[in-house]
Amino acid sequence: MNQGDPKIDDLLQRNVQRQLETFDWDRLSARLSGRLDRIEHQRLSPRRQWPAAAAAAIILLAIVLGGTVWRWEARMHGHPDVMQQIMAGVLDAGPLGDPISRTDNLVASTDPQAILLPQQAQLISGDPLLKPHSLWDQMPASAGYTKERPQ
Amino acid sequence: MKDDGREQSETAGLVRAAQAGEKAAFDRLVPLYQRQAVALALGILRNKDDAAEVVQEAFVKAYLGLGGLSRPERFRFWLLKIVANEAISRRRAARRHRISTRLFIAIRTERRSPRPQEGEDADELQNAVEQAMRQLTDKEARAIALFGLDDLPHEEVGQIMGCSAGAVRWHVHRARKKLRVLLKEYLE
Repeated sequence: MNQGDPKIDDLLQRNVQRQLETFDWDRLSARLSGRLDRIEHQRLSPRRQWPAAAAAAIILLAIVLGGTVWRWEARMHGHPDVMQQIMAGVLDAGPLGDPISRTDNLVASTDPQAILLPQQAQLISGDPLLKPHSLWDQMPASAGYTKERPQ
Repeated sequence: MKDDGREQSETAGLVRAAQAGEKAAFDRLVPLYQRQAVALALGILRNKDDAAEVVQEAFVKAYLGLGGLSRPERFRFWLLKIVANEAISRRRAARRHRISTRLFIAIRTERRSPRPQEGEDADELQNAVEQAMRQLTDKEARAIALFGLDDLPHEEVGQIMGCSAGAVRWHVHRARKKLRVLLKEYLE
């Protein structure tokens, strides 16, 4: 089967040789070198960049942390009058275990009997806060409006 | 290039150095094998520009995949396989984009002139060979191109093509038979 065909083989061989003789080797080398150099550069770039990226990240983290600490300290120590006001408010509240005198005003009732029980805060139906707030709810039935949506 | 023992060991040394990250070693491998790579690409494609593109791509792939080459002394075989695969891929892509013109019709109806004088119509012959090669199947084109390389035994051609030496001989036989018909005018 594979005895060969000298004419065909010779023709094909001559065809390749002829093209090889006029082949632009310099162009191939230049293009190939360029591509390999670019690949090499891309390979090396991440190695060169990661220390700089790590340093930048550390600096950024330090700035954020420093800013947070500074603001916290400024809030706590930079305004002593605020702290003093808070402490004074705590001291004025009186000794612990005597909450009654502070709860008198919490009785939200107009019922005299409820007022006699000063430790209880009662909400009665007359409280305006318990009235319906929706305009629909406040609308008199005689007005003819209904909450039902038309079909 | 005859890949004898000394050259094989030199190649293996350069491949190992390149695998270790020494780009200069790969730069030295390129001129050692570029002629054979171009010859193979030309054998399949029969076109210098396409062959140059294919060889460039093959060397880039070889450079990127060099780490996976477990037997550095087989670099030539490995590179030729990449070149052949790239050339066949390019052939297929070109076939997809080409306006379909059947060479049998083209040659038999349009070319009635006698055989061109040596050198005078060499471009015409070149064109005819290029078109004739397009009529071969991928395996036939690959087989006859690899077979055309000086010192590649059938077994190695088979390994590159992923088939037996017998199958290589069959594909070469088929390719020759087709080319004999297609290039009849140039063989007389």
